[in-house]
Amino acid sequence: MSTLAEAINGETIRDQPSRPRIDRFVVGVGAIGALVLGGLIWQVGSPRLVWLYMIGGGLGVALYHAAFGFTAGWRNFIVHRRSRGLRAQLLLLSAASVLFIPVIAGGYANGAIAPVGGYIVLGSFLFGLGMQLGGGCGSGTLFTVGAGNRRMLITLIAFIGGSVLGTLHLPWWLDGPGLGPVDLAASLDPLGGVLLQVSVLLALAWVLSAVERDRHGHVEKLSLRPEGRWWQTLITGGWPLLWGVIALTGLGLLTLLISGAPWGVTFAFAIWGAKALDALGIDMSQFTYWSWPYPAQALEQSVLVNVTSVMALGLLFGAMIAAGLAGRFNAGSQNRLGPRNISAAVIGGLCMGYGARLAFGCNIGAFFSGIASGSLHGWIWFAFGFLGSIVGVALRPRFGMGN
Amino acid sequence: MAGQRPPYSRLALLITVAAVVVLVALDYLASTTT
Repeated sequence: MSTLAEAINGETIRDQPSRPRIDRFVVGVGAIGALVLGGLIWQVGSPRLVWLYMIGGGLGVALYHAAFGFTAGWRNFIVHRRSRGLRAQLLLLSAASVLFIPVIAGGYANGAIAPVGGYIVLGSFLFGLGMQLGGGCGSGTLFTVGAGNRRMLITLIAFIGGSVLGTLHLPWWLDGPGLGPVDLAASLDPLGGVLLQVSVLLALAWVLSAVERDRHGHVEKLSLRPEGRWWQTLITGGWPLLWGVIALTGLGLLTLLISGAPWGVTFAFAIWGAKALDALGIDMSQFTYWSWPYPAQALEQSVLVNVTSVMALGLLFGAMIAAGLAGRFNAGSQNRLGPRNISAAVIGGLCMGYGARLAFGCNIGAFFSGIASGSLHGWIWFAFGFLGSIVGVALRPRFGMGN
Repeated sequence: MAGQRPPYSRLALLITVAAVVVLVALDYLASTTT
């Protein structure tokens, strides 16, 4: 299994404790904060939002304990031709496609179906580049901040800034040429859509395995078996990647069924940034994006009734509690912060924020939820996000970052 | 290193968590007055 540090930013912390000691202070503070916030959501929102908040918490625990990093999975293949992380993502997409497409086709929920155009190409490329410099993707940035990583806090702040900037420019980008939304499941019927997607994902996994075998002579397996006792691993972390796949699939399905739409992350960042500027006296409603019905409503309402925000807050606290249970809160902050490192975090965060708005989502909202919904934009996001990551990986040494 | 906890400021953690909760509460209050 990749270590947490590899999953976060490929740095050199590899001293995973063999017997982690639970950090009761972090777990206690995280639990109290989570309970207070949960109480506020209960009071202001609804039981449905509390469920989604708890699902967000579960996602934070799963992402941290399984060290499920999209960024490191891609980098490990680009640099080392190790495909285990990427194959776990393809398995996640396959399982989610099988479960999500029938639910969406049956009218039980809306899919993450977005238009296809040059903005998706540019946005996903920028996001892929940014996630390698920033040190984490949409979900990765959130869960590592929750786990106490100082550098990722810088990435998150820049991510929020880039998201707001993206909202200001998105209407202009959307005026460009595009195909409109392309729903593969609707075009091919749901069964055809599932079969096509799963076939392509399995074929990709086979190609990745072949490349890894060619380079290393063997393929690292995805295992269900933990290194220690299963119940201890479940609580204190070090989950096999397959546990992460199962947890993310299940919690992603619950999100779809309860919220009526697939899991998303980065819209919350845009709202938080716009609210901050609004509080500073800038009238955000003067901008086209924030005059559209859904963003305008989200800007006016409390974050306590916004699904994406509530889930993101749950994810932050879930990851904090998980890091406390692993006795590794703040472990990602061991490396010194220098000007080059900080610059990479800022540039990466800005690229991700801006790119996510243009591409109708991040690695979760567009890549995971888009593909799982059978939307063509998710596949384009994958292709150009990966290209962006190749460039980002090449740029990392210029910022003093290892690969 | 096994079993050692990484160093962090407990006060900073408390302040950060409290700040998140307070910001969310202030945002709620602001949404009720508009």
